[in-house]
Amino acid sequence: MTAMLTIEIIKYASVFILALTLLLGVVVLANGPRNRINQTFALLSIAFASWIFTNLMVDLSTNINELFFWSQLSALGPILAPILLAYFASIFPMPSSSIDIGVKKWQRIIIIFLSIGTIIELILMPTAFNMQKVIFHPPFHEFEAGLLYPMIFISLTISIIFSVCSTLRKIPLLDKKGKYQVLLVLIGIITACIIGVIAGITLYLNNYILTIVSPLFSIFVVILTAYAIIRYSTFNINMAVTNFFILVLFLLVSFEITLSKSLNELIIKTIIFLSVLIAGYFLIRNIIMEVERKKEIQELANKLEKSNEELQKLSCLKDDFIHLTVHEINTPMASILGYLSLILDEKIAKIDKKAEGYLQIIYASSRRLAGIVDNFLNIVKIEGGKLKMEFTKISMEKFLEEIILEYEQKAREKNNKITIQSLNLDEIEINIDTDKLKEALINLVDNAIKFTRDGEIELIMGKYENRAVIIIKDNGEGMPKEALEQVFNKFYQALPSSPNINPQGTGLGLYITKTIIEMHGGKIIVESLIGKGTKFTIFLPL
Amino acid sequence: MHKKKILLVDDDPSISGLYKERLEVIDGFNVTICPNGSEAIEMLDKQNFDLILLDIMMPKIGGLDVLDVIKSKEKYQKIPIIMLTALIDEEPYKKSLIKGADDYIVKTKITPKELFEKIKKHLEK
Repeated sequence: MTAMLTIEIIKYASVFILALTLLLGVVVLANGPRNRINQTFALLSIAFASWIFTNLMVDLSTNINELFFWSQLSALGPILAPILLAYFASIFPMPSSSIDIGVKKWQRIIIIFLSIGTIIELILMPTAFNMQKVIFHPPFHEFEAGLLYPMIFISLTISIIFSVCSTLRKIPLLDKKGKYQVLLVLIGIITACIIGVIAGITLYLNNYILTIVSPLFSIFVVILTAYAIIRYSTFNINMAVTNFFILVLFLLVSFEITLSKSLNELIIKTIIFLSVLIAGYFLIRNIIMEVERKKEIQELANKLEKSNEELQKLSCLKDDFIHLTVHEINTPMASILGYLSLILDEKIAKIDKKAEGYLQIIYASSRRLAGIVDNFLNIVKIEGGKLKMEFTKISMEKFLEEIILEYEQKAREKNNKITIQSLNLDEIEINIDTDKLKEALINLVDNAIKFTRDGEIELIMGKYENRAVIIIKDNGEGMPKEALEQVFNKFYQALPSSPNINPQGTGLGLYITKTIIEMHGGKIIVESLIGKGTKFTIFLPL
Repeated sequence: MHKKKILLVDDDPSISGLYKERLEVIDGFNVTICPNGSEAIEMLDKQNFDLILLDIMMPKIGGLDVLDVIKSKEKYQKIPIIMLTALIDEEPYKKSLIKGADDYIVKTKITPKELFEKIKKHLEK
């Protein structure tokens, strides 16, 4: 009873494994119909499937003739499997362009040897060297095998050892992906062999002579190898499964036509057959189109990723170039400014008044140029998102006094008075990046001095609704209403109302000021009237 | 009175000439110029200095490497070092301070007179 049950289970398992082997063969082939590896794998699956199928048919034979026919044919799978397995192991995985593995001489010799063996075995298959005698005796038929079977056994053994050696040889030469693939195939072969041998011995010891069992363990090789092939490719499961099911449906409907008993039935079944054919065609075509679209999208995404990487590299190169350029400009600039300062501020050399006037112009222009270079670098940092803030707490009064100290002299040169006043009695502490906010406010103070003559520049500080407020106010030229909307835009320069005033700038200063204030979580607003002056109000969080 | 000795390390002769002129003629310091980092390290072995003005971008050995060498030797550790550079980025500024520089001055943002004031302040410390 147990023996009968075991046979039944093995039969069902055989059908399942047969279908799975064929399915995986089809799936892998669909995944790369022109790829040598995929083609060889599909042939290997067919060899294994034929082995399973013929053994199953041997078991299902109802008379001696059928038994003899199927037992003769059952040698085909095991004859073809060794050469296909060995060839597959020698070419799998396809090396990437950077690695040249190649097929070694000893591998070629063994493959030639196995090929010759396969040809001889195929010639011997229909002869008495295959099955000498069969005795119909269900469920365990008796066989007297010829010389062919030891030959197949030797071929299979050589093929397995060869495959293991070939794959082991490749492991150190392959990249991570290749190693993983080869390892899967290796595990498949070794598992199939070990379980095959254990099962064979166990069944033999229990007096079950079941030839049907022997090819079933090839499923380990098939599953793991199929996985290794499709794991790293642009495999599309939808396409493979659809193709397979349409094929099955097509075969079933074709078979149904042959069973028609009347003309009407034949016509109806033919119509159904044609409908299946047309529907199948459109379904497959749609899926192929979808797969191609996905491939195109994937290719575009890959290209985009590459372009992005190149852009990042270029951006780094650009940054390096800009920093180097700024350094190279600043070095002679420092020398020019330094010597001019020696002549003009410290009177180290005697020059006449006219020459001094000219040198003053050169000095002012050089300072301007240095400022432009600074602004340029700031813009590069802002645009590249590289302007980082480092906040510290500082007294607002102390902070503004430092600015006044630096600009008092410059304001006096244009007969301007610069003052500071506080609207609050208590000290206000602000959390700021001192250097950057100073830079931002200097732009405003500098502008105020530039556009004011014989006037007053006021720095007013206070608190308003939990925010610190800084006002920079002048009674200079002022700006027209239309300029106020654009004054913080990059490269914008308001035209001065008087031809005596040179705007002298890049139009970047107020843009940088606004950006720095916003990076503090603050806000800046501007009010101005022509002839009355300009007022910038800055709000900073406390 | 003993003249304070300053080692000025800069590969640009116009800059080193400018500061040498200012610091020697007007301020009465004794200024030795080295055009690169390796010469500066050799010079430090030969003479004692009260302060070092150190450029960053120089051929052979850069200023930050010279700073490392100076700070690794105990006998130089008390010499104030002012980085005097045309680099206005934050990275060299931060690196200089981490490595132990006493000040960081951008050449375009300071007049020779202001530089003298800074030097005076560091020598008085």
